[in-house]
This record gives sequence, C-alpha cells and structure tokens, in this order.
Amino acid sequence: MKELTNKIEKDMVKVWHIRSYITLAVFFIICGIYVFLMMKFQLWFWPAYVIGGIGIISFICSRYVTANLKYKTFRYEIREDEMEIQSGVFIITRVLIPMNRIQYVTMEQGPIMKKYGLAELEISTAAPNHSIEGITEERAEELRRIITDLVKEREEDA
Amino acid sequence: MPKRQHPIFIIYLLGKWFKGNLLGILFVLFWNGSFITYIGIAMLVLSLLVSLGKWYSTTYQVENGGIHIFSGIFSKEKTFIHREKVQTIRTQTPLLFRLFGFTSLYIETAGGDNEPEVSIQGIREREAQEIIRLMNQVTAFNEKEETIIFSFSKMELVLGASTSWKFVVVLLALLFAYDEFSDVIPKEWTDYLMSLVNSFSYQTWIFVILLLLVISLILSIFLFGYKYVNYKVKKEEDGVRIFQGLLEKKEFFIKHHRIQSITIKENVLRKALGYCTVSVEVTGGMEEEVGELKTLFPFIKKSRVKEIFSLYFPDYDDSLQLHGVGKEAQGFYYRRGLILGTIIPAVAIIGVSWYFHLPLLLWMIAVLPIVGFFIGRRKVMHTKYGITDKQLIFSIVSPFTFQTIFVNRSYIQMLTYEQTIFQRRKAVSSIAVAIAASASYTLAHIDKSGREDILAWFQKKKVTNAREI
Repeated sequence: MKELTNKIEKDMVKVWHIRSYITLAVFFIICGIYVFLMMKFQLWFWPAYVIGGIGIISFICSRYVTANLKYKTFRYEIREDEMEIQSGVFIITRVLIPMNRIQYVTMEQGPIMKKYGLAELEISTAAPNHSIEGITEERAEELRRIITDLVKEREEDA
Repeated sequence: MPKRQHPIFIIYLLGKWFKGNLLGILFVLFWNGSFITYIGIAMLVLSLLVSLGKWYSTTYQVENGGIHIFSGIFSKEKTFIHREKVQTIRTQTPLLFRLFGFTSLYIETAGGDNEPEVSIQGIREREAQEIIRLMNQVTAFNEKEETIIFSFSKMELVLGASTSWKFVVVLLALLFAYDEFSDVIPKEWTDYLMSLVNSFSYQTWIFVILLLLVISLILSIFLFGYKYVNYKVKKEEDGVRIFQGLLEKKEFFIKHHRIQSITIKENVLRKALGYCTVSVEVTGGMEEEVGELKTLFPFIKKSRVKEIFSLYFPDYDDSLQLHGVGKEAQGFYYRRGLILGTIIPAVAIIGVSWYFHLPLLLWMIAVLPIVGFFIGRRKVMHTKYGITDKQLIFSIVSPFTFQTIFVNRSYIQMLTYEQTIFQRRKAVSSIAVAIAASASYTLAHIDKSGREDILAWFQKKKVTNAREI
C-alpha cells in the first residue's frame, strides 16, 4: 500500500497521555467508591482488585504502548474525488470516503486539545462518522474549507 | 366539510391504553389500599377523556389536490399535504377495525421523521381507498401494470416453516412453558408424569423426543402460516408494495431508491431444497416499518431470483461469475475453520469430560481436525466476490448460512480495508463497505489483487447519480 501524505501533530501524543492519566484517575475514584461501599455493606473484596487492575493495565497500555503507535500510523490524504484516513494500532484500518458522500464537516476541540492548539475534524456521512484528531486549529479550519468546497464542486458536477 | 374519524377510534385507543398499562392495572386491582385504586380509576377516566378529546379534535378533509388535517385540543394545528409531496401511503388494519370494516391510513412525506405526518385511524375501508386514489393518481392510472411477483403456495408455507429453525425455538418455549406452569398443574399429574419419565426406556425416550419435535414443528408451521399466509409482493410503477397479515392486515410500499442492498440468504436446509430468503436494506421510513421490510421474499425458489432481479430490480444482476479470494487469503480461512471446528470444540469437550468424569469423550477430539479442515474448506469454496459496472457482490458463509450480498456503488458511503499484523505479512486484507441504513458488509480475507480490483472499481472517477440518497 502506498503511504498517505499527511500526518498529525506530535503534540497529540501528549494529549493522549493526559487523557490516559484522567482515565486512570476515574478508575481510582470508582475503585475508591467501591471500597467505601464494601466496608459499609460487607461486600466481596475481589471486584476492587478487578477494577483497579483493569485501570492500571489500560493505563500502561495507553500511556506507554498505544499512544506512540497511534501517532505513527495515523495518516490522511485529501484528493479531488475522495479522502482517505488511516488509523489503528495493531490492526491498520484505511477508510475511503468519496467526496460526494460527505454530508458535513465539523471542527471540535476539547479543553486539553485547546491547550496544545489542536483540533479534531469530524466527517459525517450517512454511514458511521470518521474523524481526523490532532491537527492544528488553522489546518483544521483550512481543511474544512477545502473539503466543503470540493463537496460543493462534486455536487454541481452531478 | 371536514370529517371526523369513526368513534371506533376511541375504543381502539382505550384498548391500546389497556394493553400498554396492563401491568399497572393488574397491580392496582390487586392492591388493597383504596387510595391507589382511586388513582387507578382517575387515570382510566383521564385516558378516556384524552381519547375522546383526540377523537373530537382531529378532522380531515380532502380538497385542492391534497389533504387537510386539523388537530389539537388546546393548541390547534393545521397541516396540508399536497399530492405531489406524498412519499408513501400505507394502511394498517388492526383486528378490531377489520371486524367492522374499518382501517387506518398513514401518509408520509419525504421529510424523514419517524412518525407519519398523517394518521387517520378508524376510517371506512372504501373511504380509505378513495383517499388513496385521490392522493395517488399516478399509481391509480397504472393499475393494470401492477403484478404480483411473490406469494406463498401452501406447500411452500409448510416447507418454509420446517426449514426456518424456528421450531427449535418453539420446542424450547414448550419446555420453558412446562417449567413455568408446573406449579399450576395439579401435583398428582406432575408426579405421574415424573414417574412416567423415570420409567422410560431408551426407545420411549427417542419416541418422546420425536413426538415433541413433531408437535413443535406443527406449531411453528402454524406460526409461520399465520405470519405469511396472505403475504404478497406487488410490483408497482416505482417500487414494490407488500401485503401482510391474516387478522391484522398491513401494507407497505418501498420506492426503488430506498433499497440500498439486497441479500440472498440460504440456510443449509433451504439450500438443499433449492430455496432461499431475499432481504433488503432500506433507508428512511418509520423504524417499525423498516424492521418489517427487511425480508422481502421470506421463502423463494433460488431459480426464480434471477428472473425477479432482471424484471424488477434491473440494477441487480445474479448471473455473474464470481472470483475466489486468492491463494494467500485461503490460509486465513483454513485457520479460522481450525479455530471454529477444532480448537473451540476441543476445549469444550475437555471441559465437559473433566467436569462429568467421562474420559471416553476425549476420543472425540481425534475427529475434530477433520471437522476444522472441512469448515475451512467450505469457507474457501464459498467466499467470493464479483464486480460489474455498477455493483459489488460479496458471497460469504457462516456455519449454517450462505449469503450473497449485492450492493450498488452509488449507495456505498465508504469503503474500509484493514490489515492485522498477520495479514500484512501475506499482503492479505479485509474489506468492508458501509451503506446508509447503518449496515456494512465485510469480506474477511482477500488477496492483494482482489483488494486492488475492488478499490479500483470503487474509485472510478465517474460516479453516476451521486446524490440519489
């Protein structure tokens, strides 16, 4: 397969790292609540281990393994008639979306992404949506314009 | 003069209310506190009033080439739908209406809400036909062209029922029902039954099992027959109309462009008899309606499919030569067969023999590699793809069913192909196409050349009627 041209920003890895810390914190909070309930109502102890264990394992995976791999594989390319997005960690997935199937494009930005000046571009079709996560705000705005123009052109052709 | 729906509508609404609140009503009846009973009665009276109000306030009138609907008790609402804006008209006849010669009429426009814009429930059959004729003159003119393309013969009903696997469900339901009601049945009877069961010899056991099978088969034939005895598919100008139901009659209409894909399903039993099921994926329309529409021909001779396609769905073509998935991909199918047919059953057998202390069972494992090989081989033989000018065909096989899927390129929303690490080594990938109506079809493993074929087909620059959806 020919490599696609565009990559996302390196800072996205940091965003993923921060997200993994947040997820870990959420797991710890849930675990804490369970331990509290356990003391009060004499419940089993093992679910606390399970919740905590899942939290720690998923943290290690997402913090030290998948974030970098995700960054390395994620690529996208926008052509006249279609756009292609490549993503994945162990299974590499490529999606091909013809321009004339795109219904609308939205830009999204959470607080963490905003800190690094990054944004997410979501592409909506009649089938499930796809997104390009981790491009700069300016780039996202530019892409949104390009895609909307291309879609309009295709419509006029048809 | 605007007309009102027939008062039978009130009875119908009340009946629906009872059906919907049956649990609550029973709860109230068996509750001894008088306070709750009063609330129950108040709610009943309230729902009666609401039904009355709904009935009184809703009127309709056909004029100026469209239909007016006036509704609302406190805030009035007026709707006018012009004939040209009508997308579908369907009628649905609940048993109550049917007994007295009434029906319900639903009119939908293209605006894709889940609720039909117009629903007139409780209208004389003849009047409904009159409105349909007025609102839908195009179809009325072409009445001669309408042809029934599908209906069941008695033989097919029996065959279809006995090959639908449903009888297994019925059998389980019978056993479950016995288990549930064994408390209600007098104790002497169950005791007698138990003593009888305990004295069974092997032969009687086999006889009893056969008897149960036959009973559930007969029951499932009745169930299938009840659902499909009046089932008809009629070809019309720009779509197909489906009639269904014995006691409660239903009628649906699908415009051609709403059909996104066609799937031919053959389970093992039906394939042996030369029969199959044809289902479609449709967009738009009410949720409940779309669910009913998925199976277009529930049981049809495979040999008729080609003819029906060429006559009524000219975009779809069943006569194509399909390609295999390629040498490199075959290995992956054999591997999958090995997992399904050998490894999983082996683990299960080891577990069972260990738990029940039956070491003899372990001998069965010796046969499993052959089973695995044949499952894999069958997958290799039947997993295929085909490309024509406009359409893509996937032929896939799961343990008990063979499926052939036809998708038109102009309905494909996106194409996904992916590779696991193992697949990458052999340049094998899996390909999925997603259509609207949130369905997607996957070919699990395909060679590089096959993938490139499909990609090139999909990327072809000129996509005709791009904005059909």
